[in-house]
Amino acid sequence: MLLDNPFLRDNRVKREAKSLQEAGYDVYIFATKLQKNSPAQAPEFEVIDGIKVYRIVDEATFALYRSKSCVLGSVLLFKIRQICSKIDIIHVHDVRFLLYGYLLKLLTGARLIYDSHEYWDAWIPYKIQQFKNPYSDTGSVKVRKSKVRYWQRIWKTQDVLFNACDAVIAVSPSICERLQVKSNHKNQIVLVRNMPYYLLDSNVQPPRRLFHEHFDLPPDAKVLLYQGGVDPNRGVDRILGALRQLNDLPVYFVLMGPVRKQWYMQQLECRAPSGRLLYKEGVYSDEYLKWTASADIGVVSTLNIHESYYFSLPNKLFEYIQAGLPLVNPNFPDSARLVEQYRVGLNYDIDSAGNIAQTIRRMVTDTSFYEDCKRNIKQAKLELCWEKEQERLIELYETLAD
Amino acid sequence: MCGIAGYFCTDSSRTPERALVWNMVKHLRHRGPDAQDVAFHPGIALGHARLRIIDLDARSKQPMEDPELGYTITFDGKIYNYLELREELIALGHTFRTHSDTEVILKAYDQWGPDCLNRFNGMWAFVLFDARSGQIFAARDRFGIKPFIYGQRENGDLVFASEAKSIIHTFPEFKKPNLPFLINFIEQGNFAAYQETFYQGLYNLLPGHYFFAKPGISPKQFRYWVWQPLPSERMPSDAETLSEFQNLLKDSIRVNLRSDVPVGVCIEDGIDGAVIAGLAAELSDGPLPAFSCSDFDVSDSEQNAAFPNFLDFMRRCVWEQDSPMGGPAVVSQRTTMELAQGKVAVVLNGQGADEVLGGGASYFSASILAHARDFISKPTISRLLSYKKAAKAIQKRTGEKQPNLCQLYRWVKKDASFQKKRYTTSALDGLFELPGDDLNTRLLEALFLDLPDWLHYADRNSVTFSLEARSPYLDHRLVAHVFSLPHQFKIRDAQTKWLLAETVKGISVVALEPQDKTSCHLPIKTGFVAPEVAGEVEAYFLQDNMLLQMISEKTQKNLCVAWEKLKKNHKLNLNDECLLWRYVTSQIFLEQLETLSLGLSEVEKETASVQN
Repeated sequence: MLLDNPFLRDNRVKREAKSLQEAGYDVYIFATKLQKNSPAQAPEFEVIDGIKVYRIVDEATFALYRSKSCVLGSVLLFKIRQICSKIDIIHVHDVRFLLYGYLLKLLTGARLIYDSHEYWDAWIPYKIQQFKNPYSDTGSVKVRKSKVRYWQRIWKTQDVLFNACDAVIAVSPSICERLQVKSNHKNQIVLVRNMPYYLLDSNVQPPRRLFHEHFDLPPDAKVLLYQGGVDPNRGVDRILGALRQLNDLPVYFVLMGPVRKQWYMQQLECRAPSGRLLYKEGVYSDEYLKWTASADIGVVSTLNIHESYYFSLPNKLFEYIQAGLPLVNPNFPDSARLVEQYRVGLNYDIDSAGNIAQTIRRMVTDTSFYEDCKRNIKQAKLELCWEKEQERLIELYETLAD
Repeated sequence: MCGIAGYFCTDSSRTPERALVWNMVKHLRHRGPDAQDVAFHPGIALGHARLRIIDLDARSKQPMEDPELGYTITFDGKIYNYLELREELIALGHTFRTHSDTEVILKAYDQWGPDCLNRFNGMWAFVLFDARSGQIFAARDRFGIKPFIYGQRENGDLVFASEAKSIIHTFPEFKKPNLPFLINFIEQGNFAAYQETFYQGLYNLLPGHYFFAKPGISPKQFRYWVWQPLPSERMPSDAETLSEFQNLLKDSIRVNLRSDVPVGVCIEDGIDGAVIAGLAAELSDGPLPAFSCSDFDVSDSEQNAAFPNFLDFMRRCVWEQDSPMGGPAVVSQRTTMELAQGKVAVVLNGQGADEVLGGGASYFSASILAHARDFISKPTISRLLSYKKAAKAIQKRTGEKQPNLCQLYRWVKKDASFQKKRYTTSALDGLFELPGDDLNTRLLEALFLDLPDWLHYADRNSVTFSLEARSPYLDHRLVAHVFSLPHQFKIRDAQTKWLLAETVKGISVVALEPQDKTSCHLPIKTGFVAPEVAGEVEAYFLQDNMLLQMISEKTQKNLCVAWEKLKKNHKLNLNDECLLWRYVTSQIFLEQLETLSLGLSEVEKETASVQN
């Protein structure tokens, strides 16, 4: 597996690698080196649950078509060949590694899987537009120019090599359809959603009211939980707008995750009705689903800023389900379909504060509906878990290995 | 033009002392002679001195409260697009009690939060108190047209006002001068673009920034106007560019003309004000009253007759400005404002035109460098010819030989960069050079480092005569558009402000004639060396002078040489003249600060009597 991060918290890759290892494959992960200023600690080589992890990829390798990256890329390919005497399947995680995956395929004759964690045909143009936008905070003119060129090269590379892949993995049904059209129905596009492992009720039950204890909330308080990174693209401010219309309800909105933009967090704090917005730093250990389970309602609030978000199936959605949490979710096609199909919550219009408020109000006040959702979740979590989802991945590997 | 002031306690159970806040407002009465009021709430007091411009109804008085939303606001400035925003907000379900722009801010904040600032077009400094969250939200316009100063007392309480004098007269602990900052001002010449001020413990809210504050948490400034000019990807045609520029300028003037009181135009020397006057005449029923001031053709005896004691006059100006001054142009602008006093309540002026459109011979070198860079990056015959043409035209105009391409090569090898060394956090922070365009880079630097000083002077000069000054060239849409154009649209050959020069060709000449014209009887050259003040000024140049000793040797030397030249009636260049002004007015500023309780009140009385 070729991975463009240091493999510290990439749960999706961790799950995939583990499943493949358990299915009898010998899995090697080639990840990037840790940045010099990174506070995290990780060795250059380690074995995690039988998976061999090599953090040997230099970040400069991804600056495609530059002399330095060509040298680094060649050295990398040479090292990989040295470490793995026999390669059957190359699994490339994300677009930046696609070129090296392809070169490795040419060198070894192995089959190539491109695991597209985002819908890059929407994500890259958005990114490029951001760098070209005079009203975006994306650095100096020089940096912007080089970033635009960089992402254009990456995009072009993906276009050229897309049909050279033996299979492509996508993360939602709509993205699958789009990639199918892109490949002119020549490629095998497989859906592997970003689901957590099945969570036994006993692991989170009896649910201590962790947030109530931590923030000293009144017993009748309802905790709305947003789990994940706090940044302006995640639409948390939209929920706050709605919260201002719910002053009559004992609703508390808890953010649990890393703050990516300090100014944004300050805006949120200042805009929130007094005392109704609470912040809990991200919990990275296995404990975090226990915290999730102790909330009352899970909140997904992604904004429709490009199709990669619009068609996404956020991992927090599946995590809420595994934690047994009814949820509110924007009415984007894939995620809304899933929420309706399993009846695990309600969808709302992210652009209407009134509609969001109405949706949350129903969740809080309509106890019979809430209990229905809880019951439905018990059934849904049996299906929406990695144990089920991994079957498609293993099946794909078996097909390619044959 | 209004004045705002306020007091925010760290402990919301306390209510600020009434006398203190009223005293702050009292010292802003010249900014808002029509009405003064203070709103008291637990933990906060917001004061306001009002000059009525829009919606003269008493219901629009300030501080304005919205009991439904729980907001109270004190606001200085004008939101020019308030009518459009009002309609948008009504469509979103908001209801309005008044027709003022102040209420539009309240509803816009409720609707969009801090993002509302990006929707405003105008000039503003305001503080909004949200009773529900117990926090204040303070913001200032994109270019710093409206002033906003704040400081934290030892107990953590926050005080803020439009002018420093309001704070230092009420809280003597802020009376201490910020000497390193003052010295930097004498040497470099900028002050208003920085977060620091001439007073220890007092800070500017930077242009294009806002802050939130709540009990126990110090304000931290954030930029809301995230804008970075980018080089244009294509060369637009002249006709297309000119038409778009003129449309934007006309629209800016159209919204700037919104007022319920008479509007006039200040025509300084040059075409900046003249174009505004011409276009404003087209957009309104006829020519607006125009006011002009010139310091030409005035003999020394006439000047001295107008100012029997020049130093006293300078003291009054420094007190009005709350700061030392950067050059004689500050005072000639004051004279124009004085001329408009009583005839109109709003004046449009040409502030920002030089920085946005490329005015002034000082930008010629950047223009030549930009041409050379164009040619060296892509050598074509047409680029070579345009470089040659520009160099020849500039040489003809300035009489100075222009460097050839070989001489310029070593400059062009490096990217275009900002020239000035910044003293501390400034309005330019967060903005970047345009590596391939020297002229736009220099203009961007001037827009955010130099212009704030001139906006500060214009603000104080206008409020001294109870006027509201508006700057149509500082419409953010216009600025963003002009900065997206290549350098050839700013300075073409030796024509500075090319866009304006082309625009003026289509304007009726009659409309450009000012109705009221005066000469600035300002003894710029002889005032400091007049017999009755020469002794006092001479003392500033004695070797044991504290301020003189603190500045760098090089500046000391330049100053003393300039002073000697002035005494001998030799010609001074503009740089030396401005250096002298900065130094002498800094001395006056320090003296006033030392004798604040006595000296200032005298000046204050005098100014009050002048206003009456």
